Amino acid sequence: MFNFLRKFFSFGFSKDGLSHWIWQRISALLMILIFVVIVFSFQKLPIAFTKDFNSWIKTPINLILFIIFFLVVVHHSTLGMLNIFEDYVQSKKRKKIISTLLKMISFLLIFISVISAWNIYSKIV
Amino acid sequence: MVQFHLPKNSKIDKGKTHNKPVGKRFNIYRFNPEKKENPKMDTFYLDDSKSGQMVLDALIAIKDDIDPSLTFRKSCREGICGSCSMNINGVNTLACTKSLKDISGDINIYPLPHMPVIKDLVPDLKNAYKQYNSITPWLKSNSKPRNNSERIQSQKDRSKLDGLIECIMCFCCSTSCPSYWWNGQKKKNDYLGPATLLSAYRWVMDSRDDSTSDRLKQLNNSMSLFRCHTIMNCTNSCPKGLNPAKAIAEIKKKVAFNKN
Amino acid sequence: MGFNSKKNQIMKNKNRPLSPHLQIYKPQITSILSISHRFTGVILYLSTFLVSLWLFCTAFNSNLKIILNNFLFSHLGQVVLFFISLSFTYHLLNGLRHIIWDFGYGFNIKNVYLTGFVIIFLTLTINIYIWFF
Repeated sequence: MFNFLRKFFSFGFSKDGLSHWIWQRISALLMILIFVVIVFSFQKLPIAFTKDFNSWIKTPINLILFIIFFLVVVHHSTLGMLNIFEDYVQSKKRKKIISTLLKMISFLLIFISVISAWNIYSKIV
Repeated sequence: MVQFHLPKNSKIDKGKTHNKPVGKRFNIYRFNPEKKENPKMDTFYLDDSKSGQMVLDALIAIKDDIDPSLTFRKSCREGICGSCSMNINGVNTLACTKSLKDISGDINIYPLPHMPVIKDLVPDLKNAYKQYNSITPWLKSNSKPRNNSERIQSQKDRSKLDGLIECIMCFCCSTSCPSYWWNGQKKKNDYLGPATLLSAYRWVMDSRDDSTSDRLKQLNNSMSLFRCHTIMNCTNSCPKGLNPAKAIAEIKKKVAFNKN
Repeated sequence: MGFNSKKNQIMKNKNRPLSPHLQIYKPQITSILSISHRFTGVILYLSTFLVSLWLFCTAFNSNLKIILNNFLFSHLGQVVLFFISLSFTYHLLNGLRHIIWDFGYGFNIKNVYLTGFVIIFLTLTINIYIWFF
């Protein structure tokens, strides 16, 4: 169980420098791509966003697009935050605790957002 | 946490003014290891007729005429030995190639940033040299040279080393890098810094070297190479006009495509 | 051995001060833009919390959503959103600059300054356009 959790939380966050670096770039490029698609699928930004969002997300493609976008965003920013801790936190023990905490928060973010998005999608108004 | 402020024993006190206020004002960082005092900023005044052309000339004039105890490294006085690297008005450079004409107003001189200070403007570079040593800056070849003579290299291969071999190891770049400040002096597994990584790239690029893959593998951890965040302070401060940031970016690419 | 230890004592002054760094190093476009990239990144990470909360409210709690919407359309909320959009634009543009660097282009110090000023200008114009026109 513990092993599984450890694997779960270290998913996508490998320890060697290269994969961390590469995933940060790949997620950045993906984000830019999806962001452009999302922007063009809206008519008005950003004031209309809060009103249009509910109707926008009601198509399955947009829902999937949004969920992928949010996943990539959280992955990218978690990598970035880990990088900051790697820079500024010296004690290894503390670094580990903070990183695990950060990953848990990130997973929680994803969990809440995906469930919410699904809920908005499935609601028929 | 990394310490962003100076430790207690490193806080800079006000020093004394050594002579009458005539000419240019030099504020210089002083530390005497034989006294149990914090470092301080001393002020010297130097007339234009005495100060010479370069900051190094002025330092020598101060040492000769005003305070013989002022300590700094110097040797070639023409920008090829890399001894007189220091922080002049906030930017790391060589005192011997920094013209006094380019500076208007006071001249503030500190040792290279975030280094242990031995005396006055002389920092302890032991750790920096240790890091340089760690990248094995020598040719490692599996074959013996033909006829026991020199190893031949084509002009094209040789030109790949341009902009790398000119490095004089003054460590202006490394000590200008915030990332090196926070992670460059750890007990083990530290960030190597731009100067050392530039040299690492020099050996990675050498067509006569056979251990390229090992060299790259050695750098692929979270600290040695990848603490570089392309801040670009290194390239901005290099007194020889080299580009350590570009060299590091090229190493990252090489590490990414290193197959073994 | 005795000689060595004595020598070591003289050479190893434990009280060696650390030379000043952040305190004296000149702020330059290079370092300022770099730390801004990091800072805006942290802001954006925190704003994913806001997005998440907003989604949660929209889906499950309409009362909370009214409160949240009221906050977002208040002056303070608008200021918060302004800074988020500023951070987003800056982080996006500077990120592009980083990716160009990662491919090995634009390392010339002249280009570094040029692209630096370009993204500052673009960030400001885009945000002024979005918020005031």
